[in-house]
Amino acid sequence: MQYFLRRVLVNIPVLLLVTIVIYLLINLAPGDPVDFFVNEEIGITKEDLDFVRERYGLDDPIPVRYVKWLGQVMQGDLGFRFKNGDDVAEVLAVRLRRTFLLMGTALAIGIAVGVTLGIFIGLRQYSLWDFTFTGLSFVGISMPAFIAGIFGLYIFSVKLGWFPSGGMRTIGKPESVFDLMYHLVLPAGTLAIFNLATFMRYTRFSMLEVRGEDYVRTAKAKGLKPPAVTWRHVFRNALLPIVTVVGLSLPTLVAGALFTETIYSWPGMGALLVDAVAARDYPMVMGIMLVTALVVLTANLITDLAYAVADPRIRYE
Amino acid sequence: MSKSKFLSLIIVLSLALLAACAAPAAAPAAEEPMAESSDQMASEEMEVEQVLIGGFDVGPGGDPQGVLYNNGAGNVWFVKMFTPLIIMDSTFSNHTSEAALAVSWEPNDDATVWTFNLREGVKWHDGEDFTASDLKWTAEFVAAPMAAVTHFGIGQPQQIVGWTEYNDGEADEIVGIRAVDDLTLEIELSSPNPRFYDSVRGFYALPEHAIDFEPTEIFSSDWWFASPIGTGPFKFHSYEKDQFMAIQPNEYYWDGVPELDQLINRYFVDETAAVLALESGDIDFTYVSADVASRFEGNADYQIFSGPSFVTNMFNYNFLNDVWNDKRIRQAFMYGIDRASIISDVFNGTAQATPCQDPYPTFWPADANYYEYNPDKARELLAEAAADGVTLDDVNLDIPTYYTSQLAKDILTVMQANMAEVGVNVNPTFLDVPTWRTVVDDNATEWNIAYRGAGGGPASYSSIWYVEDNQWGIDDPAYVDLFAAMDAAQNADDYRAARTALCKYQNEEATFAYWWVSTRYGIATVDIEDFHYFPAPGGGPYVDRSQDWNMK
Amino acid sequence: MSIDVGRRQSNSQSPTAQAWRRFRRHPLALAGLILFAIVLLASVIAPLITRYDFAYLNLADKFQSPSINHFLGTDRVGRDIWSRTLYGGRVSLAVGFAAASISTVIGVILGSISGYYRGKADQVIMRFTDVVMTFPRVVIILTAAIYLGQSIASVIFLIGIFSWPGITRLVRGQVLSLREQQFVLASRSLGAGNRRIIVTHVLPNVVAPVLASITFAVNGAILLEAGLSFLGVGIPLPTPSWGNMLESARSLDVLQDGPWIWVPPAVMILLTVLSINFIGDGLRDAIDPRYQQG
Repeated sequence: MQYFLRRVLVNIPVLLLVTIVIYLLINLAPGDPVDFFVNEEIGITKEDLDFVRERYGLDDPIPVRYVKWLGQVMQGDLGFRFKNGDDVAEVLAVRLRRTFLLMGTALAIGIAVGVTLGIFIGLRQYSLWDFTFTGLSFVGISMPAFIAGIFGLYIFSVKLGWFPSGGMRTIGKPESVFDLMYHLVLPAGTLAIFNLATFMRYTRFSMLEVRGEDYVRTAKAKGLKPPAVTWRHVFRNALLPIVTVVGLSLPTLVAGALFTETIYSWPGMGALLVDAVAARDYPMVMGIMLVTALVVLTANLITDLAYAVADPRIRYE
Repeated sequence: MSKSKFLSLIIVLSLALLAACAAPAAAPAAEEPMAESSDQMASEEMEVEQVLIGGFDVGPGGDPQGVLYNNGAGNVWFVKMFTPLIIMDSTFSNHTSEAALAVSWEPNDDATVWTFNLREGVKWHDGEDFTASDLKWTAEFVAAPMAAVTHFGIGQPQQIVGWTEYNDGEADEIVGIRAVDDLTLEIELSSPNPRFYDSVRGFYALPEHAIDFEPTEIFSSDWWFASPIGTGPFKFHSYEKDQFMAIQPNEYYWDGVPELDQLINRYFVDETAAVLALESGDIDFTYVSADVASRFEGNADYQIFSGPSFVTNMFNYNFLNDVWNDKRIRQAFMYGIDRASIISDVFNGTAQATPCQDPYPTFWPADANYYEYNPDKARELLAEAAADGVTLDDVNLDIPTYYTSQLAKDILTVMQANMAEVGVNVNPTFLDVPTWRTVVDDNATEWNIAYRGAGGGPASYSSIWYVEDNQWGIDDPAYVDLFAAMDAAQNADDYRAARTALCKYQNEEATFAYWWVSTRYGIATVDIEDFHYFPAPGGGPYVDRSQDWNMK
Repeated sequence: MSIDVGRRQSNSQSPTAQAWRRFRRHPLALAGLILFAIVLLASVIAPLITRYDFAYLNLADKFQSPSINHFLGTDRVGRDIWSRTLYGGRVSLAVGFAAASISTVIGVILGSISGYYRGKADQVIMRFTDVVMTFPRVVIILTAAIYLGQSIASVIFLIGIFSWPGITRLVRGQVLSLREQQFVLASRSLGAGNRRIIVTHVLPNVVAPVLASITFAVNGAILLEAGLSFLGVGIPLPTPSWGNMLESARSLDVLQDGPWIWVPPAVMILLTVLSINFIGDGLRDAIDPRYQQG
């Protein structure tokens, strides 16, 4: 309990530091939100712009603005977007759902298929299956999302025309889960490749390792039937390390996948962040960073704790 | 031992489940706010026959999910729901009363008081009558001291008597804007302006009776996306953030109820996404850039709309650095870059060479020098300048630009290669807009050449680029005279003559390297009839007769 | 006096020799090494096997599909794809290795300090690592690149200084366990100072796992550079990199009608990353035979 408490408390300064660094970084980037309003080809006078800057409090020094922002956040107010006055919290809620849908699907496919295949080939070391899937898994982990995305778009949308090229729904048609799924196939499929390969490799590796452990040998020697050994000893123990990998993947549910979202015009968190940075939309950037950092830290915490609970051998002092 | 393993299994499974649940859990959640509208759409689908879906805010001039008075763009869409005081016809050079709130306008003798006679029988979408006082109210609403608006819809509003005082919070109203009666609006200027009518083409009326938010909330109010009321041919139907806005016919529209049952503006992350949606049949129309337009040529399924961008692309030299005061250096860039090849091969012919900054061919002198590609001449000019001690040797030749499209990269790649051949190594840098503004606008002498665009109106030409303490240190009395002559012109012929003389001077001096006006395109499927699109700067506004659009 | 207790010698062969022997027996690792050698060689001798300079453009020859003159075709301004792919490899590989070196150096230094001294230093460094790991790297680099401007050096620098946390954690873990090992304790009892112990005993034993993780760092850097260039930030004109060649596929005509323009860099990235993954996998197995797979 004491460990848990300390583990939680230590995250507070980390979180604070993260927000300070990001705030500095985005505020020190050249230009400000007002610059983004300007239509270069029409032109506007400096006085007009300074006037707007003053209205938005952009003429305050950065530390003052940071403290103001922090004070607001403490009261549960993430502020409004400079770009269009949207409530940052509302925008986050909408975008988070979309990203969660995309990343969650990709992760679920990755875990389900990857772990199954991993177990399958882990039990058949050196078989043809093993070589084939291990080989493919290398391709999977070597394929960056933007390359998989471009190939996916080119083959399945441009050439074959099986799936839509982007977006989340067919406009003009009634909203339906089917339509959403139809739009989800390519981006989620693209992302799942990497997840799948990763989970397969970890599971296989873990299976092999556990099979070599003394207690498994003992169990075999005791005369337990192979399926019983596999199920009771190997499988359960082998899944343990995968917890860590799943835990480490959780933040992506929130952070989103910038490249995939860009290629398939999926309006999620990754695309939003890039958009917000380009517009120097400070409240939006900070809102995203705050949520992301919170989730990353929480996921780390959960992973650590889950591990501690799951494996009593692990002791934290 | 078995207990701990069992526990671990539970944790594993619950974590896996948590992740796996993400999909099904999120799906209903995502639909929740749409559930209502989807029912609505499903039930209406029976009746809805003519639906036109387009990417009306794609490309330059678009302002997806924007609101009026934010940045002066997005008019292609705004003009469907709101109406400006004066509008342009689609040659984008004449002003017409066709689809505007004013049916006629005239100045007094010295062009200091302008009277606008408003259209009879104009109603707001909710059936209320539109009157001159709505216009006065709108001007005061957006110019309110705390409103933080930078685009007032009226060009150079300081010219209006009392505007500055009101905007500074020192007056309760703009005394220079007067609603004489329901159908007459009078605007008084502090100095004569024979072409003032051109300044009010972005001046859209907002409904005083239907706006329930403060001027400070112009950009944050959800009125624009929940219950906007205008005087345009279409009225609000539904909106879904980041997805689309749908509008439906305004039965009170003075020029006939639109034929379409629904007009939908779909939002896209970028042009490519929009073009793919067009090709897959998801949408019926989108803006496309020149390099993509050629894909649709000769395809019987599509109609192509094109027009000049009215934006001149040029090298903006920084005269604060002495080297640019040497005409030979400036001209060396004109001769050293193979403009004709860039236009024919990079633009695929979708751009037109300009002699000067003016994007309107009406004002181009017949005997302009187009600086044919001549690398030898460029080298010669550079050598001559060098002989006089003027060289580019220690000059920072980064070329910052805010254009980041593949087309812009291709153009600058060719320019870089061309200049390398005459011994000048330039280095294009692609910046986002805030960075660009910091580099070019705030750091007076650090840059030397900026690749940029400049737009302007057919009846207005801002002198801020060449006189009035311009940022890049041009100090040439000839420009002061040329602009003064233009401002003084009392009729169209004098104005044209004065503006052509200005163009001629820019052309001879090569004050900046004026390159081209690119052509912009809109592609629509052949299913749309009587459709009209025109790539005007900022999206217009211009007359598009959207009430006549219909689907085969 | 040279203390050699650090080398745990189980038989007559040195660990390095054993590792190399195991590495050679690893078929995928060997295949990876050969593949990577080919890619590297092709990039290095690019001037000898290309006809055109990577920046040479000829508008009259633009957008040509593969032919005898340009056997991978040309891009939208008439540059030779074959030449740009090979020269692009130079940039991509250089960025990969240089950035990985920076992050490895930072990671090894911070990790050894953290693991060896523990206590306050460890606390501070680990919290700092947490902070950096919390950043979304791509966006942070996009933002930071705005100040530094577009140059190969700034891309290397940015990727390097934002990619060290993984290695730091790895080294820290290794050092933590090493410092309790008998030969370190023995050395300390003989009066060796901390610096000396770190340099002569701890670091040499960390080299092996770090070597394996460097391969992954190189891959990470190559992919990050490609990703950044794909988003339009990174290597300045007219220098090719696989990433900025791939960026052209974001315009529709290239994606749809000019696959010869974007497929070569895509395939090169894939092959390079794949070969380095094979090598890394082989290295890991070779260093720790427990992991041996095939």
